[in-house]
Amino acid sequence: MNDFLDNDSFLEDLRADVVAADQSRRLGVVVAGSLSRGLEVRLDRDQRLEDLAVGRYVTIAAGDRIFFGMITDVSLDSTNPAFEKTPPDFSNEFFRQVHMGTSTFGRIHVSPMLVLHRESEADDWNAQPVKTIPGHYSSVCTATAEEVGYVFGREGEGRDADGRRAHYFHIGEPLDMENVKITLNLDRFVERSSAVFGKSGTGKTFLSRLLLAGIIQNKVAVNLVFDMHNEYGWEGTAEHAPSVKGLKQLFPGEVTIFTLDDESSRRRESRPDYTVTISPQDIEPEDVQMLAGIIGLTEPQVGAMYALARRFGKGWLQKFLDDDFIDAEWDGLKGMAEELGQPQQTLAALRRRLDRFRRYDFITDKGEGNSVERILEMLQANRHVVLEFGRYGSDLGAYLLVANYLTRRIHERYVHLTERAFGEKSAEPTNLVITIEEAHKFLEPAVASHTIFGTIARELRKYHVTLLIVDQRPSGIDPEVMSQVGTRVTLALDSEEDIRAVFMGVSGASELRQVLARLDSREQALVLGHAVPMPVVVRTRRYDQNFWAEMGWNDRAALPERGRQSSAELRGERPRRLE
Amino acid sequence: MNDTSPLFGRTLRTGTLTFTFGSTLPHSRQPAFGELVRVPAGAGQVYGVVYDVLTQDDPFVRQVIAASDQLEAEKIADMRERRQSPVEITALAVAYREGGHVYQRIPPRPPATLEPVYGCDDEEVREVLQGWDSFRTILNHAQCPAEELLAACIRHAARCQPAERRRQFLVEAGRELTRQLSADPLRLDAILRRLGGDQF
Ligand SMILES: Nc1ncnc2c1ncn2[C@@H]1O[C@H](COP(=O)(O)OP(=O)(O)O)[C@@H](O)[C@H]1O
Ligand SMILES: [Mg+2]
Repeated sequence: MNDFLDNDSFLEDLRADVVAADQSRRLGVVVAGSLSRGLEVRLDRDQRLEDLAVGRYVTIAAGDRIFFGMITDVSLDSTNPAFEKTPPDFSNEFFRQVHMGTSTFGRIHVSPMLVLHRESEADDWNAQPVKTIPGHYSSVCTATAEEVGYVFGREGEGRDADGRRAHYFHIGEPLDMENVKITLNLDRFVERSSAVFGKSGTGKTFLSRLLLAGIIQNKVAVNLVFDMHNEYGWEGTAEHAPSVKGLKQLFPGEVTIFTLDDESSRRRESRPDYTVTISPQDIEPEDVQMLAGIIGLTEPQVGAMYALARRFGKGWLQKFLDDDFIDAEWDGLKGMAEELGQPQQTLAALRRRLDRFRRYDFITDKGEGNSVERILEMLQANRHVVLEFGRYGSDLGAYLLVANYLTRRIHERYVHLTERAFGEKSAEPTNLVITIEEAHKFLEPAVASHTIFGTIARELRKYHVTLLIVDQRPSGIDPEVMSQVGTRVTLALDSEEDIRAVFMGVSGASELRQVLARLDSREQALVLGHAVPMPVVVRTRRYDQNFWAEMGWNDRAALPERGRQSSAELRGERPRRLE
Repeated sequence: MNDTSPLFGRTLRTGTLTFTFGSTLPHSRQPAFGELVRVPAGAGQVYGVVYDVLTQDDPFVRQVIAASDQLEAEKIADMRERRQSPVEITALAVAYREGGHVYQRIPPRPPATLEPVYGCDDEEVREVLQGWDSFRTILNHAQCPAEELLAACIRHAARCQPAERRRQFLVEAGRELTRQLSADPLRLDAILRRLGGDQF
């Protein structure tokens, strides 16, 4: 006992508890198991299975280590199968008292997640991966709030296990513990691409917005959000309330709203700061290629697109869609086809496909200037950008085109900036996190290999750009990309396929699958990966009045004033130009 | 263990596993089935659980039965009291005391003949039967109705607990049996049925 006395008093308490067999938190004893399959724990007689739940944390003190684990299964057992086949007479209270928990008892399956260990009394405890398991008959206790807090990191700024600076952001509570905050290491969250998965209506958008607020508040990265359904920037919709605050309302001075559909944004009073336009001159075949699946381009048509771009250079699209131009130059499509060496039907079909771009009002020369540059200016000035799609959000083609168009160019600039810094950290750009909803459309196997989003996911943080993938169909995402996703926050999923996809490349997946399959259909998430020390199930933090207040939003009346001020500021001030 | 304990009789025959003593006490004061008794053996004490009480006939009893159809109550009582041969009571040795310790094992040496056999008071019963090691000794004994005997012995031990602990004592004993007899649910059931209920 004495050799454990030190300043980490709760750990001492824990040890003391176990040594002195404090029964109040004890659940049972380890009776079997293995490192790969997890531990079998026989419950003590008085433990009621009804009171336990998968996802709950337990600690097991063994020797000079404390194992941290999660309950991943619960089952019934008996000392003799005969007790199951011919049950004792349970109408007799005496029989019930004697048998329950003795001849028939409960057991739980525990997956060891990490182990707290220290070299000597003078050292700090540190959390390490599990490389062994506790011995037979080690006592298993429910973890206390302090232990959970210790393992996940206290909310706010701190250091991680490797001594690096870390911002721990409160994302929710354990399922059956009161007043315990589970945190996520934001620095690690943005360091690699991350994902929020869950079927529709589970709370993906709410949770993503909450995470983005955390990133903004803690200044760990700068965000670019492709806000397909207009939920991130200004008032979002909610099932439980008339409306919820958008990021710009919480951080008026730090968030800029761009819109693709000025009219819709104004109608929603979101007061966009800029309207994004794309000059038809600037569209390249690469920007269109990833829409092939959506607008139904065939291989030959894609080939023809590149041929056109080679022949006409910048402005190929405009020229190709311009009947007058084609008539004047070639006397019709036939002549053009002959010169390009492309079948006429291919060109005709391609024109029909690309014709939809005419309906996109944002493809125009009459814009406020180069939108890519505008966005880059903001990002460089550490302003977060939310791009609202307005009515185009319901047009998958438009969404993919714009997101792909902008991201390709922004990424290119980040590559340039990073390379120019020659490894000098201070000269490198701030980490950029790009949030995409319906992410599988960008990352499905057919397109992931040759689109910018696949590239970003694969190259990790080499160029300081990572993705926040928000999606309801993880099985649609290229496995290679999936294996690069550092942190996976998963709300309820229905399909087996999707559940399997989430655990791609995760050890101990079969047990976690049980946990995931049992999440409530809303506001419960399994978080695993880079930003948490061990997989964790949380009731997600609510994105509500309290949260907004904690993010610095004060009251309804003060808000419009602040919003106006910052817009004015924004327009008045010319942020530092790049290069 | 004290000298005011009732003297039940003296040993007639003894062996490693059991000992039999003769008692001349009236019927109502004889030890009951399942009750714990003590007998000195060398420097220590042997404890046994009573499992057989045998009252032999004798020539006198035969004569009386043969001679008359009608027996006066007075005469019957008199004959019962002044018997020619003692009642033979057999106990299963389950524990012994040596050097102040009680061991729930078969005693190393049986008691000699003509040793006094005493009853035990509540405290002594609690001390000797605490822990449940004697369960196996009783269950393994082939010459006695082991299930009945064990149930009677546990009930006897329960009666020696403070009133408020009695029920819990039975439950705990039941659990220990459940553990020891998990391979034989039928036997377990038979014993538990003889333990259960609030009347013991
Ligand atoms: N963290 C949360 N705080 C408050 N309400 C939430 C939260 N998560 C989910 N909800 C509720 O669930 C509904 C659906 O959430 P949403 O994020 O729109 O789902 P998804 O994007 O997965 O379709 C919301 O309208 C809201 O009522
Ligand atoms: Mg959503």
